[in-house]
Amino acid sequence: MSLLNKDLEQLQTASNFKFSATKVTDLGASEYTLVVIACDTSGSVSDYHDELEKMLKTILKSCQHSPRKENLMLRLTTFSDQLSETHGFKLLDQIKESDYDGVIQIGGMTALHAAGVDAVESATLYGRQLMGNEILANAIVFIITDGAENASGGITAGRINKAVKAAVTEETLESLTVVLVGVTRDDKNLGQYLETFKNDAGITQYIDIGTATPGKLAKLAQFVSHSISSTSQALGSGAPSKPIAFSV
Amino acid sequence: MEIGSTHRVCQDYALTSPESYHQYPTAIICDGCSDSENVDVGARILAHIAMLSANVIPHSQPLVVGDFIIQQADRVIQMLGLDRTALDATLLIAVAQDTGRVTINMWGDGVAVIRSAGRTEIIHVNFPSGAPAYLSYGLSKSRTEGYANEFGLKRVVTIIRKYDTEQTPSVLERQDTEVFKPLAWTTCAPEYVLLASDGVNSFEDEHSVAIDYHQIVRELTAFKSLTGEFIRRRMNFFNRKMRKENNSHYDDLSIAGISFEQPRAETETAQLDGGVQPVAGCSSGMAGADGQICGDGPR
Repeated sequence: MSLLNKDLEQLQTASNFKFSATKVTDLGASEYTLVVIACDTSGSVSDYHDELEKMLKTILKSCQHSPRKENLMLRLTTFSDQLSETHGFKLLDQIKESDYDGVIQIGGMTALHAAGVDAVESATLYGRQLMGNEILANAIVFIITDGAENASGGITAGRINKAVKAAVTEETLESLTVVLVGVTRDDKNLGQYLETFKNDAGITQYIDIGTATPGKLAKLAQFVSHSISSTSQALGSGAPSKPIAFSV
Repeated sequence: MEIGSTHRVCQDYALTSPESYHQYPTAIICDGCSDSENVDVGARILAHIAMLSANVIPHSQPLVVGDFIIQQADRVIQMLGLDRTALDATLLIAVAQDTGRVTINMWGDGVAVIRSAGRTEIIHVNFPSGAPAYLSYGLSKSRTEGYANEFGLKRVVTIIRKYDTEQTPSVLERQDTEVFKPLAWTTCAPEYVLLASDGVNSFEDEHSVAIDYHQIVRELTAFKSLTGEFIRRRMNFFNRKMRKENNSHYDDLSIAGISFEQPRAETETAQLDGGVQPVAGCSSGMAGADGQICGDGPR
């Protein structure tokens, strides 16, 4: 277990993905937006892994300056052949920027589907726990990838779809938004693949940032922060926030 | 706070302050009179001055407290160029002392709930005339006389006391005529103290049949935990349930409370937290209108 997850509760999803989360008894607010960022760390991101790390730190800092920071919780995972949880659902004042130093550990393949199921199910299960303690919650999940699925051991995009539908049907989360971010390097085939994946997996929104230049990753950080802010502001309204447009 | 269906502006105001801001965690409710103008402003002024009073005057002297609050509030209202009828509001205050003792003072109508080890007390104050006697009436002899002539002098206090080990609560009802003086209680080492405006009396089901206030209070106090925003959490889910059951309320509802579940006490309306060290072992009691304590002792 990562030291960053010390003092967190260990939980397990329906698909047996393990994750960590702040104990509900340690929470004081009446509502939270749960944010999950699942970041691809397969071999192909090695060209821009420093920029990816910087982007994650920017998102963290932005959330920590949000007027709604007391009502946000963030979970960060990375995926290549395996899934790895950098930290579980934590309050923002419990996360330091330095916790993200060296967070992008380059691996091999791309367990995209597993990352999707893990992210959605963890948000749903934790949301259920919060709801059981009369804490309102909604969730937004970001899956950032530059490649196609090739390492999830048989987990299909349909499993993600099923997890998304379950979250909606259960009504444990006020809303669930899943955003797929494609770093396609303007590869039309990959773009088409990810568009199809988005539909098969029941994902809310797909954005293609093309090539991962520092400028585009900075814009992506801004987009992610705005989306989180918008989702947080929608909490209590009973509805999801409107998707934020991304432009490069 | 929840605005009633017949109001366009919420005339209730709830305020709390934790130990980190003021010495004594305090919870306050003000419920403005619908027939007076600018009571939404007046209720806020009363509440904030009442908050100030918690740190300068012992709340075990309710007559002194009331006098201080209304005189200061009157000054502010006059500075704003508003009529003093803007201060026509009920005022409920709970102050936790560093001994773990909580003092509750009530001017006008409303509800206080005291939860201590093994028992829950609901203290319901009502004016059968339908017109609560506000603290602000004391600013003018003609107003107190006018009130007495029009509405009479009758205040009814109902105390519902239920022990966890018993099925049926005991109900005690008392009446008095000292309507311009506050009702006061002290209680020691409670788990929580909750104040609510008389909006608890205004709930109706989908067939417009009135829902008993102690049913509403039971729902409002079904806390899963007493930490952080415990009241807001409960209110959120209470609202969901009411909407689902097509229930409604025509009067504003506000709630404020102090909890002592942790070694540090939490205060909350819909917002803040606080801290105090509770002291074990004491009795709760009701003070007569002149401020004399008449305790009923622990069971």
